[in-house]
Amino acid sequence: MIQLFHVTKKYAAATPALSDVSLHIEKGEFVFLTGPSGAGKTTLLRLLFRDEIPSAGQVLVRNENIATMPRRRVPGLRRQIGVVFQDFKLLPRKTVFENVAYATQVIGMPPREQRARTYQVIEMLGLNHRLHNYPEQLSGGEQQRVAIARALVNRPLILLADEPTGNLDPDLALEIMTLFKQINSHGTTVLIATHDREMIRRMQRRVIALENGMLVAGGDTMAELPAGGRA
Amino acid sequence: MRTPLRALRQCAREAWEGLHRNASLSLLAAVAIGIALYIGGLFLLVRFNLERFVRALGSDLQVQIYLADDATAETVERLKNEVLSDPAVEGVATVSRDQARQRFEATFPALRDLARQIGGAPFPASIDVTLRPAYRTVEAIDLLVKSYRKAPGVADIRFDLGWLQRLSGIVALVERGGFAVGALLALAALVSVGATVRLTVLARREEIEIMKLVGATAAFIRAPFLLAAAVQGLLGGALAAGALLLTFRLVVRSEFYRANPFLSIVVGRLPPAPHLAALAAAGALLGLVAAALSLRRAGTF
Repeated sequence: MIQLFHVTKKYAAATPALSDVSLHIEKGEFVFLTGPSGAGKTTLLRLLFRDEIPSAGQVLVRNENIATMPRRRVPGLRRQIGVVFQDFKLLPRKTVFENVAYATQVIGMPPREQRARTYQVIEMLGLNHRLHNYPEQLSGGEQQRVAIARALVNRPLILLADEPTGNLDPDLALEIMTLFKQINSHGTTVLIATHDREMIRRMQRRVIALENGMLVAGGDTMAELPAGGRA
Repeated sequence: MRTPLRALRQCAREAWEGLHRNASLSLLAAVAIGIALYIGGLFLLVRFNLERFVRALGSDLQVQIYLADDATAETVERLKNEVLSDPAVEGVATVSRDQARQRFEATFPALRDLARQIGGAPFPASIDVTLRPAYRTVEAIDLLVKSYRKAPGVADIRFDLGWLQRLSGIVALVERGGFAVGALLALAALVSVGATVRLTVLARREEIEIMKLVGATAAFIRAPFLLAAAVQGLLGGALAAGALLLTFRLVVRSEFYRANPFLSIVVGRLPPAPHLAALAAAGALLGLVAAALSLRRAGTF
């Protein structure tokens, strides 16, 4: 589902944010991406939804090199990927329902289906009683659940989460992680960036570790591009 | 799949939200466009009236082929037919010596005695040639003169295009002045609308980021900004057309207008409705261009 081949990402600073990273994530896997602050976790996630382009190497999502993908095709890629952030990124002027439904509107889903999908995902995340509340009226955990609902409403194949429990207390964090596990059990590939070692220990899933932009563990590295891979 | 109507509705909703959120700025941008187009419209008004005046004068333009005293009726008839077959000629009228005298006396009654004192027939007979509108130019008249100056029976050819040329020059000057001033003000309006678009983009940065995240296309993100700017422009254009109408009414009802007949040549008539509609459409176009440039500069899509 996700493959990185010798990926390097350099910004203006002398040290690259990612250096020669190769990894492989299978369809339906649940993987943690860990490392200290500045290790390159966020950069790696941003490469996966084409918010960044690698300075070198190839990033393959469903066997397609997204680094060379034309810009007009990027929206199509992003419709297959749900993204959740630590700071939730909810629209303050929209209610819970509107925040979630917004993701279906922008991809032009028919209104009836928009409503059905939104209600469905809101119910799945236990937010029925918060439908008409605004983000500021919700707890941190609830806000994160709304963000997850928005990421899931278009039924993505991949769910990326960048420190999704960073702003939550341990109980809420565990609740959110359980949710991710449930989502994964339906076949969605889940990649969570976190530096919460205790959480990783409790979840018992595969871990990819980065340090100073370099892969230090769990990459399942493949040296060469597979023959079927589209560049 | 997205239907065009649903997409349009969504776009209109987003555009309205953008306008509503920055109401005062949006209004300011519309007024800036309005002022630019109003000034441009004033030039349009003057140009329209002057051009009309020149056209009216031009339609009276005639070339007079004065006939030699010894020209026979047969020669005159041949010449008349020949001139009439010229593609530049709309019509011809033969004026005899007597008719020429009568015309002079009717035009200048005070000088009636002068013609009688001279005695005989001081006014030559002529063929008065009316030109087709497309040929009322210096080049066409020059060609006509060259063709017939030495023809049998022709004494002289007279025409007066100078004043018409001078007036046309004034129209061109007004036109150029209008373009220059209009372009300058349009530039100011572009900057103003561009700033509004940039501020709206900034205010909606988070929303745009989320739209991009969930897979909205660049066209979907840009369309509401373009639509909002076009609405601002259209509003500005409508303001300009309204202000122009008001100005016209105030001018033609004023004492000053009545006291100065020359003003009726410059602002006597309001350009027809399609011209005013074009002014409003120009506003919308201006808004669109400003937004497109601004979105390109914002470079966030």
